[in-house]
Amino acid sequence: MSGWNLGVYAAGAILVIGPVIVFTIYLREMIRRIREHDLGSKPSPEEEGSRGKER
Amino acid sequence: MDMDISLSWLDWVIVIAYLAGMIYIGLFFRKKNHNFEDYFLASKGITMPLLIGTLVSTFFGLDTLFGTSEIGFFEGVTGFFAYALPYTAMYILMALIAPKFRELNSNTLSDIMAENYGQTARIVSALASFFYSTNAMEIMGMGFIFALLLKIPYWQAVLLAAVIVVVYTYTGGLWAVATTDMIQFFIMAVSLGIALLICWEDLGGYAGVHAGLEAYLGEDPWYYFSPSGGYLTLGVIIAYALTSLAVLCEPAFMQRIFASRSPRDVRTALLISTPIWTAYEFACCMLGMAAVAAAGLGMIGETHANQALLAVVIKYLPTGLIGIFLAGVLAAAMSTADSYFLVSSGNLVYDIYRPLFKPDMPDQKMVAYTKKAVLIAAAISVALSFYFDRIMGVWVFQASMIINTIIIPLYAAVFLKKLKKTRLSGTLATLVGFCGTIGYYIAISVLGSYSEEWETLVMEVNLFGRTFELWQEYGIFLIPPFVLLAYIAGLIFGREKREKATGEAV
Repeated sequence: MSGWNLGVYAAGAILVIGPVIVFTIYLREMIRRIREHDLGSKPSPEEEGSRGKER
Repeated sequence: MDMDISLSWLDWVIVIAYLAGMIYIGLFFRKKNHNFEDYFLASKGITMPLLIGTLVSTFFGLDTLFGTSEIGFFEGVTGFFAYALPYTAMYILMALIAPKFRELNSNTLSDIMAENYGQTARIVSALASFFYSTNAMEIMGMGFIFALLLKIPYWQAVLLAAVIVVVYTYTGGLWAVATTDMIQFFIMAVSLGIALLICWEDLGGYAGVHAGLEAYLGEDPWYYFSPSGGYLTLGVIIAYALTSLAVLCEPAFMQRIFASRSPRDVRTALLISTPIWTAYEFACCMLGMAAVAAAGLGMIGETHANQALLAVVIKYLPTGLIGIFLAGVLAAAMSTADSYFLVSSGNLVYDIYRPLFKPDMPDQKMVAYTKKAVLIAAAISVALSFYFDRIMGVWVFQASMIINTIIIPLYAAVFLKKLKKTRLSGTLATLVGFCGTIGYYIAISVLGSYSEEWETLVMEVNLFGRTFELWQEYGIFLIPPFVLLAYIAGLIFGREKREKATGEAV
């Protein structure tokens, strides 16, 4: 097999397998963070208060 | 526009689902932003996998996809070895030094400049970052794809593209941008990888591509497989390699470094991103060569170099995968455009407007103003996309601007801790870099002429009886020595030593 073919297969493999692994790790982490409300800072007490009044 | 794309219903479903998904993510994250740090820096909570996605997709836009494949089309593997590999070296270097930046706990590059050199350096560096981040190219590319798919006029396609990106950037801030980047990273990388493998295999691998190139050129295509393309000199390679220095002070890179949860996350993310970036450039280059070979073998018709990648991929990919690949092309453009809209809006509000006019601006107001600035940044990008014909020339200008203005004072501030910096040193260095770059480009544009041979602006200068040719690209290594001299002069003559400011970062 020529070196260029090898390079193409290696690049293709990195581009297909790499993102699949990264995306799987990301999804697992995001599911955990959404469950634990770990996205963004907590709303300030004033914001919470004004939302309570709106409700 | 001489290309025609007809999609099946399955391809359409994929493209429309992708676009709708991006807008949904923006709306989802609207409620997660309670303050400026949430909106602009994703609460400084981006961890390793999300960092990889957002770093890779932000830095690689249509310039990589179509630009590198265009070089592959004309010059072969030089597109990878001479133009892309220097960037790989810079990614690795950045991985080693990025944790140092994260440890500073700043919000923007200009925060570091202000802390070390005062407000003038902050404003000038923010202006350079703003110029760099105004990206007409991605908007132009998206307009091109939308016009091709929907068969609508280019100006309508450009506006449609800008509206979609602005909706989720405006509403969701960096959380939305990084999350959409992650999905875009996945689609653009996987679709390109699959396209490369299928096209290369269907063409018969190296032997088939070589035969196709030979048929197309009517001669031995040896130079297509020569790393220097058979003609590049060391000087030209160095000139192009120097543009990779932009990686070291890239505003969108820095925003993600500051937004990361820890210095360790940044280092790991950059080290994992590096092979993906490198493989992506290699794939673009090889697909450009594959397009020439396919034309030589009569598999596709004569194609324009910048449409070569699309032409060869659409020829070989099956239904469904074409939709995914086109979503990947849109993803490459959108992930870059959204990030720079956000960076330039931060430059306008956080780095320029706030310190100059409203130092005590409340946090909520800063978020509101930054959102409005996203609209301004998008409007400027759209306007530029109608104005410029040769956008690659604009990119060289933008890269020179950020490197010349920021890199020397920034790295002296972060890595030369024992150096007693003065306000004057940072002020002079940023001003010389910023004004010098603009002056150089104006001089080349007015006094130079376009060289058909080198496809760039060239100015002839007579010095001591000898004639020198100055290229437009040379600004990137002609100006930094003057910046360095200005910095040293500022250190010698500046009296006021800057103590670490504590109140300048939010």
